[in-house]
Amino acid sequence: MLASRSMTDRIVDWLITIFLLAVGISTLLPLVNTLAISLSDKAAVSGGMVGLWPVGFNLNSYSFILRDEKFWQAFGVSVQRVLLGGALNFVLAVLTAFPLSRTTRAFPARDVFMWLFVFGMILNVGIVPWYLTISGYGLIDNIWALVLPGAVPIWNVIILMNFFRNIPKELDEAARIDGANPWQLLWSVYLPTSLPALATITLFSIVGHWNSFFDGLILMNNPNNYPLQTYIQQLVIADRPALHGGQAQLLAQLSNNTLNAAKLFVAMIPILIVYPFLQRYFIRGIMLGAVKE
Amino acid sequence: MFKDTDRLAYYAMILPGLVLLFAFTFVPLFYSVIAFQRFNPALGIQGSPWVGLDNILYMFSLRDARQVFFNTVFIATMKMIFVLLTAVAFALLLNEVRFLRVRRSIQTMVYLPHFLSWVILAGILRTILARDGMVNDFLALFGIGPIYFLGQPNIFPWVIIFSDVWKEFGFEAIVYLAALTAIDPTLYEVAELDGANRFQKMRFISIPGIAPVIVLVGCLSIGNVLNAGFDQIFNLYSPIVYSTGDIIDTYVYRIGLIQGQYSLGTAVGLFKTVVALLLIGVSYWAAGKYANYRIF
Amino acid sequence: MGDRFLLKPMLLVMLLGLLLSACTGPPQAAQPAAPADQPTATAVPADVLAAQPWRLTDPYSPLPERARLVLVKGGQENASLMPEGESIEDNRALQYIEDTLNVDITFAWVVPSDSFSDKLNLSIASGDIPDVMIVDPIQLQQLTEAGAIEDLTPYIEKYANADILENWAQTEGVALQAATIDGKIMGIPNVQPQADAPIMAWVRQDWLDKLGLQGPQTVDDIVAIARAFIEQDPDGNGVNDTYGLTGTLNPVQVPSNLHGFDAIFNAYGAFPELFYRNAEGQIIYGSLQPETKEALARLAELYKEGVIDPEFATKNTDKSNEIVVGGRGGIMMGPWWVPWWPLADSVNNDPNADWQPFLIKDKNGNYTFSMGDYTYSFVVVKKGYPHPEIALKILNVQNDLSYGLNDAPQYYPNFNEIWTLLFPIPFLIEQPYVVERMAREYKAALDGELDPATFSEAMKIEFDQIQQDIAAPRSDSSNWAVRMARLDAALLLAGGYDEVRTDPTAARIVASDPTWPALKKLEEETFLQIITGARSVDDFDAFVTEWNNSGGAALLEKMNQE
Repeated sequence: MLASRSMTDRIVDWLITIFLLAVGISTLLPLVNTLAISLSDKAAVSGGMVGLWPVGFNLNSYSFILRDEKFWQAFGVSVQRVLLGGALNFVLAVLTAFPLSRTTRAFPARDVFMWLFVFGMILNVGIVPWYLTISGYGLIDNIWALVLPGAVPIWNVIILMNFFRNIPKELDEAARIDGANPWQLLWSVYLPTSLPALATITLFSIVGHWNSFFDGLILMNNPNNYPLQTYIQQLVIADRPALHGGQAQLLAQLSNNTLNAAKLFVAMIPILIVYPFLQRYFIRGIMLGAVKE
Repeated sequence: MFKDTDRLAYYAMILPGLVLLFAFTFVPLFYSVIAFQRFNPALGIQGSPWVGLDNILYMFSLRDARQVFFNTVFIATMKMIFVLLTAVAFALLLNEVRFLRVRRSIQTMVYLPHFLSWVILAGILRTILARDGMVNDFLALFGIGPIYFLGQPNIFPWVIIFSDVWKEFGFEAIVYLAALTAIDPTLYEVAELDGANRFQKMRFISIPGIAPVIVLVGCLSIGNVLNAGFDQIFNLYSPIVYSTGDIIDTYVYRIGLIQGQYSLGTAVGLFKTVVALLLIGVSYWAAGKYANYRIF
Repeated sequence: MGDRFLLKPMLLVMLLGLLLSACTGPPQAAQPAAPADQPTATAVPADVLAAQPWRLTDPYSPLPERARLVLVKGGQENASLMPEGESIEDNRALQYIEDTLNVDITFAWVVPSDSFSDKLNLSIASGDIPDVMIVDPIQLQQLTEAGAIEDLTPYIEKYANADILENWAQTEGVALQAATIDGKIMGIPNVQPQADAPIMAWVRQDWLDKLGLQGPQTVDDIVAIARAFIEQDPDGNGVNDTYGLTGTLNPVQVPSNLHGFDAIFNAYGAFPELFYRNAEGQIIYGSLQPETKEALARLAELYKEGVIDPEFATKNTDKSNEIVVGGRGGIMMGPWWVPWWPLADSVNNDPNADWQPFLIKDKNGNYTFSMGDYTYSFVVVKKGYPHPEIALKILNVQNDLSYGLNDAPQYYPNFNEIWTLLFPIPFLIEQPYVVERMAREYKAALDGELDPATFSEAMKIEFDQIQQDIAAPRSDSSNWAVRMARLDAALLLAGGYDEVRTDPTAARIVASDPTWPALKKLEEETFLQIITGARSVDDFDAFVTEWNNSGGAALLEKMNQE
């Protein structure tokens, strides 16, 4: 077959490959630009001279970040929220998905609950009632305000439920005959066989928690409680400079521009680290979400 | 076989999730009644006076409300169309790449922006779209610009649309790529024997092969035409582009929480909720009918 | 909005040197809660009270028992300016107030200045408000309607000290009137030093000299200088990287707009954002007048030509400050106090940066400026707080601290820059024309016509700083800032100018009008779009029609009926 491919065919093959490589690389160029700025001299940056390669290479911004308490405090809040939120999402997704994966014969209320959750997923009442609810619970300035409102990840529940439903019934029945109750069944049969799906939904919630900024912005009054994305949003987007004229020595070495670029990049690092897993499991997750009956 | 104790266990498992669902999704629904009040936080829901449909009617009379509604639908629809077209084109082309390694590397590159937050991406966009930023430097090579991307009302929506394409096209292409690999390879072989060229194979085999997925994505998108992307716009807009860039969600945030017009903000939010519920209903119905899809 | 909470030095004094005077003693440890019916000793020792009878007068009397007071605060971004070992939550000025008045002050939250207003609105929405807070006229109206704040009528006369009562009186009663809703005084009004409103052009004399230019007197002069600064490389670095006119996303903001175009509007006889009486005695809205259109047309031209920063419409104050502080801009529009912030930083970075203030003449050769209201913010007390008078007492002590009266601690060398951080309620009740009066006195002392020994402690310190900077210009940015602001800029204002201000009745009607936020949005958007060329100048007339049809005409009618 391949041997019969014509010359033009092969040239077109190459053209397509080169074109797509160019597309792929240009997708990343903005990120490269940010990295280059973070590593450049401040004068070159304010003169708009930095493209894809650092001008006046230095690590001043990064060494400043290493010593920047506020940055690490926000980083810590984010880590805390990811751990707390991720764990909560995991437990609640499993506990909710399992009964919903049962047949209506085994769990007659199943359909009612299913509709309730789906309705809850698509219902979005708007920011004002949402804020009043959470502040009504006294959760303002409390880390739980960042994890409790989204503690039941309904989309993840649906993914996991679909996965549970596709587990062979024979496994289920064998355990039943051994006298296992639903808790034991979930623990010793369903969880061990669902590891890929569990990895997927866990990654979903970790990335979601790491990336969200808005709840931190309005639910945390004290800036010391801001998660990293909120902290960065305030510096970079709302343009509240981290450096002031008083810090003349620092200003001689770096500018808010180089420093902000470095902060953006450091905030990306955790995502870049888990990216290989993300790529593998998210794709699977998308397919799981699209399971049809 | 189905014991009562089993059912008890199921109820116990689902209970925590139900409690949280109630506390954070259905309780806010109750708070939405302030849309029909002149809500005063110090008086609470019990104490605030009821005004019937006044807020809703006032909303319809507001030029701003009509404008943000239009902006929302326009931006969301354009995003869907352009992301879909780009993703399909990308998937079809990528399907032609024969070197598996290269294929994987390209995928790795284009999926990445999807996983980064809009805070990070907006920070990057503000830098590269500035007057002395990378994009204007590039355009200057062709004698174009400089363009004030984030400060021109006629350009701003397109910045939003195409930056969303940048973030999402690769990721959306995943479903099309999956559909393409599911196409029976013998179809292509037969076509080649019949002398079909690359374009004809694409036209008569690949595209029909992924058509159901395109229909499905299109149907599900109907439910999203009121979601133009709060995080993205919130981090890129400013007063000068309100006329074309302000969307329902940013508007509700500003008037409802920041300016303290709680009832009006809730009314606009509630209106969006109701319309969105209808649209999602339609989209699931359409997805079920035309693409044989059910979420559960 | 945010700038109001920033380092805005007004009637303030540099307080030097001394540690806490012996009178105040070491900070008192918090006392264990005593049963309510059993009055506890106050924090102030009996012998001190005997020696300082003023402490027992109503405006200063300590609370009968230690009480808790919850406040909120902006200014967090400047916390690094506080002296070593002190913080916003714990500093000696705060302790002095706590000890004098027998109160425990805590802060529910401390946020950056420009998110203060957002956070306060969120707190009001959640119904969880602090015991005492600073609000704007709209919030005052809302909280009053809600019955969420105390009626302060019974406390005002009794607990405000003589200075504060006198300063209110100097506003011709406008201040207390603004705080009065349905016959009750619902908030303690501020008095804004009127000097804060006129916007002047601050220009780098060293750049002017280098290019052989004269200081500006008219808008045309400003434009010529801006062009020269853009094109002729005034910083001599060989790179084309200097700006002409800076701007921000608030082209107009009365009073005290940094990088705003207010002075240019005023020079065209336009007074946008003000509701004032015309020659016929009718209240009109300045933003709708033909003079405003004319000024917008000029600004649009300048923008198109590149004289105005091409990206001003998406920049905030901090972003534009970076331009002047970083030595890339030589013109800054701002009020008299900008030497303290941000220009002191510019002098820090580059001791050659010789910023000088200039007033801009209008077409008829006069100086006329948009004035702020005498009063634009209010201190209110949460309903049910047991000691509503505490708010007035704190303001009394704060005013004294800033005048350097009584036994106030005098040890903060950068008091002008950090007073908003030190004081629990950063709020001023000033004489409306105090800035001009002080400038005249400093000038007279320099000319030998007045003996500086007659100055208050606080003015003596400032006068000393002024003399130091005259002897060695720009060798110390704090001394330079005092001299430029207090003497040079304030003297320009003391020379006299015409005022245009919003009618007090109109201000009250605007505060309670539900259509106002939408009208304001329409205006801000339109002005930005006209200046940047997104809409043509002729669209101004369409804007006026739309403004009138969206509730504006009704608003004006209501004002003219009252």
